[in-house]
Amino acid sequence: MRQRRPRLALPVLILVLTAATSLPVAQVQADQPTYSFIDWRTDLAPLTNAKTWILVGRPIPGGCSYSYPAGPDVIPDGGWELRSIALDPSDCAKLMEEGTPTAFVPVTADKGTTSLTSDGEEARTLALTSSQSAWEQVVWRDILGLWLNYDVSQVDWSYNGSIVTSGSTHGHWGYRWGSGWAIDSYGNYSTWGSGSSYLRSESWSNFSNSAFCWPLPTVYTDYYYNRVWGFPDGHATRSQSSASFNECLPFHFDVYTAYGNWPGTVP
Amino acid sequence: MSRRMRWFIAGLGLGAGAGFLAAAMGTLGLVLLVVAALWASLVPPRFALLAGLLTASGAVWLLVTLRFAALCNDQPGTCAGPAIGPFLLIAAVVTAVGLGAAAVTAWMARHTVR
Repeated sequence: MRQRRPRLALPVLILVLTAATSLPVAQVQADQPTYSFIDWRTDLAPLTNAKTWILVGRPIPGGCSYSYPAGPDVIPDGGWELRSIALDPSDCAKLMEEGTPTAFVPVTADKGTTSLTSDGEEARTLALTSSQSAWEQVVWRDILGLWLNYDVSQVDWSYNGSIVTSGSTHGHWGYRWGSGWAIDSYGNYSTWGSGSSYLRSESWSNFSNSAFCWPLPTVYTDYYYNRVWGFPDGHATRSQSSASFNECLPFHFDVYTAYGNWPGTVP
Repeated sequence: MSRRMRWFIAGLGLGAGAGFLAAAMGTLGLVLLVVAALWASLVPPRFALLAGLLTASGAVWLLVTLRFAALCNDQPGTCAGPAIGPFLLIAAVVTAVGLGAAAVTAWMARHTVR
């Protein structure tokens, strides 16, 4: 029997199918959208004084682009959180919820440090001061779960039960070396609440990668804000908002938070 | 073990690596996968290496996308980017084509005059 010459049709078909994996999914914007929200987040701690509203984005190749509103000018003592609780990817809409967080990382006695200070050789008054640190790390990951970049916000504060007596804030940022990511801008600043009612650390950063989806547009991950509040009773709250744009493959983000110093690693 | 089977197994290893690279490196990884597939389509005996490469790279993408879909289901609101469905479908098609190519290779092995 004579062997048939193999043809190139099969490899060509396979390559076309393989290359098609990089094509973005078309997004269609309806003229009068009736939102069909999916991916409801049911595992969230409730917010007090919660308000919900719809954030409408605009369709872009490969997904949606959202412009997030700025936070409130006056931060409530109990903190403030803005979060997405449901999505309508076909209409580029997110159901947003904002309010005062009620779920905090529990304070444990062994994580803070407490010291007694005396005034003079014969102490007449003793002031009890404690110090505490808390941090939040937001990490964007690729479809494999490999981390792409991160943004860390840490607050270190001393308190006496009535006010925050002193403190400082720090930010840490990083991206996986050799993956094409670069950091475009970043920063961290401190905010004191009125009457020293809290000290807040806020980090922000913007990363980009022009090679990952080339020749499609540059991919961005933006950390709009990464906030951690330290309060006079030693507890902390946190809040974050971040997004990615122009991904040709799905991305995912994780949020980590704890008391103490940021360990300097990505989980 | 036949020569075709050895090439098929080599293709499985190559495809698994290329599949991971395509997921981790985006366009560059996809180009490497395409180059590997082109080369594999030319290596005799025909389709053995290519069948292994497509089967493994498709299976890797199936596992990766299924895992990601489960993650997004567990943590809704934490995923962004294009829908996972088309990736699942294409990964399934590539895997099926790889298995089909393996069947063609086996058929050719049985019907070739030595």
